[in-house]
Amino acid sequence: MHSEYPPTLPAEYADIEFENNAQRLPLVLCLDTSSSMAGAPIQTLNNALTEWTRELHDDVSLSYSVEVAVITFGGQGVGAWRGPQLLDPRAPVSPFVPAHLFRPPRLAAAGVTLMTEALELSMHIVAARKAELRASGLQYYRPQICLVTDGLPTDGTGHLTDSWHRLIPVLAEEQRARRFRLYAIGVGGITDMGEQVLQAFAPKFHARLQGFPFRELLQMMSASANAEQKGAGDEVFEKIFSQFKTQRPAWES
Amino acid sequence: MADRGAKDRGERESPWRVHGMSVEGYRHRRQGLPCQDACAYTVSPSLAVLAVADGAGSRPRSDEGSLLAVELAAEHFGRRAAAAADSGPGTAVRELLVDAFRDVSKVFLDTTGADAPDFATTLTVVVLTPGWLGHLTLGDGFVVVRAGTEDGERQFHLLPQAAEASEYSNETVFLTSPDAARWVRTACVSDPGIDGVLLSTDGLAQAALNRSAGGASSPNASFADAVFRSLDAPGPVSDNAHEALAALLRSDRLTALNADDKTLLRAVRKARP
Repeated sequence: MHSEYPPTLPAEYADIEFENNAQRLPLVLCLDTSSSMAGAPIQTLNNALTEWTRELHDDVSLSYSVEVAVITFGGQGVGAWRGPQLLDPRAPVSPFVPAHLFRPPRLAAAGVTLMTEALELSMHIVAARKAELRASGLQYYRPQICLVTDGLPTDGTGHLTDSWHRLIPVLAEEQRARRFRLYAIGVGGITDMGEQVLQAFAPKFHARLQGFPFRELLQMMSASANAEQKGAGDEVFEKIFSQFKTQRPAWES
Repeated sequence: MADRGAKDRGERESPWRVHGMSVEGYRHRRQGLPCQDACAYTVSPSLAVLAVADGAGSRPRSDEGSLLAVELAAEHFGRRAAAAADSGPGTAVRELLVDAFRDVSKVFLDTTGADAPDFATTLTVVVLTPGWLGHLTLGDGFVVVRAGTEDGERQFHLLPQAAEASEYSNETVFLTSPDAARWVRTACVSDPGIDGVLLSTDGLAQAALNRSAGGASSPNASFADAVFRSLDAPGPVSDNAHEALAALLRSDRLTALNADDKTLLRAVRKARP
C-alpha cells in the first residue's frame, strides 16, 4: 500500500481484533457497451478499468470502503457484473465487490443501447445494497452512480425511444432525497440530442467530452469518493466535476 | 488553563491518570491538511474534565474550531462542576452539564462571530467527580467506560450516543448548527466501579465499536481492553507508551477502517496505594 504509516500494530496493541466494518461507499459504473463503442473506444475503456483498479487497490482510504459494481448496456440488453463475472439476472447475487478485491471485467461492444433500463437497474442495486448494509449494521456514505455513453437510448430492437422520459421525475426525486450522486457523461461522437438526455438525467453533473478519456473519468470518480468520505459540501463536488469537464484529454494537447 | 505548577499538582493528586492525543488521518496527511480533531483535559484532586472534538471536514477553519471547543469545555465544565461538587448524581448534574454547554456555546459563537460556520465542530465531554460521571455529547463522538468484571473478563460499556442526524454516517450536528442545543445528549452515571473512561471522535468508531445487525453499537472489548491496559501501568506515561498509541492510531489497519483524523483520550483510576 502507498502509505507512510506503520504497516503493523505496536506490540501492546497487536492482539486487538478488528471487524471489517469500514463505512461503505457503493459506486456503480453504468457503461455503454453498444456497437458504437466497438474497436478503440472499448479497448480504451478496458485499459482504463485495469489501471484504475490498480490505483484503487493502492489507495488505503478507498480500498476497504468503496464497493464497485459494473452495469453495462449493449449486446442484447443490460448486464450486471460482479468484478469480471457477468451475473445471471435470475441469481440473487449482489454485483458489489469491495474495492480491494475488485477485478475489472473485459468488456466487448455490440448491440443496442438500453440506457434507461441500465440506469433503472443501477438505482435498484444501490437501493438493495443499502438495505443489505443496514441489515448487517454497516454504515455507508452516499452512493455514486456514473453513467457513461456515446449515444442515445434505444429500445431492444435498436430503435430510438422516448422511454427515458419516465426516468426524469424518478431521478429528480432520488436526487432531491440525496439517495445517490449521479454523474452522466457523454463521450466520443455523442450528439446534441444525446447531451440533452444526459442533462435531463443529471442537471448539474453532466458533461460532454471529446474522445474517450476514461482514465480521467475514473480518476474523477475516485476524487469524488474521497470528497464523500471527507464529508465535503456540494460545492466541492461541483468543483471536482467542473475541473474534470474542462480538462483536455492528454492525447489532444 | 491553570499554571504549570497547579497542573502538575493536579496530575499528581488526581485519582485519575489521563493520556490521549489527536492525530491527522491518512487523507489529511496526503493532502497536507491540518488535523481537525482536538482533545483537552484538566484534572484536580476532586475533579477531571475530558473533552474531544472533531472539526467538520468541509469547513476551512474547523481545526481551530475543535481546539477552541475542547479548551472552552475544559474551562467551563470544570468551573460549573466545581461549583456543584456536592450535588448528588441525577438531574442536578445533567442541568449543570447543559448550563456548561451553554457557556461553551456562547463563548464559541461570540469568539468566531459571523464566520462561526467555518469553525464547525462536534464536542464530547466527560466530567469525573468522586460521586458521579457526567457525560454530554453533540455530534458523533462517543465514550466507552470500563466497569466491573464478569467471569474474569473486564466489562466495557458504551455511553448513550447522540441520535444519528442523517442516513449517511459522515453527516452530523455541530456546535455551530442552528439548533445544536436540541441535539445535545447528556447522561449521569453513578458507579464507583468505573475505573476507565475513553473518549473518541468518529474516526475510531469502526475500530472501537462493533455494530450489530440492527445497527446497535457496543464496545469492541479487545480494543478498549488494550488501550486501558496500556495506561494501567503506574507512574507517568512513558514516551514509549505515547509513541505506541500514536502508531496504533496511524496504523494502516485503522486507516483501512476509517481514513479520517483520530482522537483517543483515555483515563484510568490509579491503583490505590
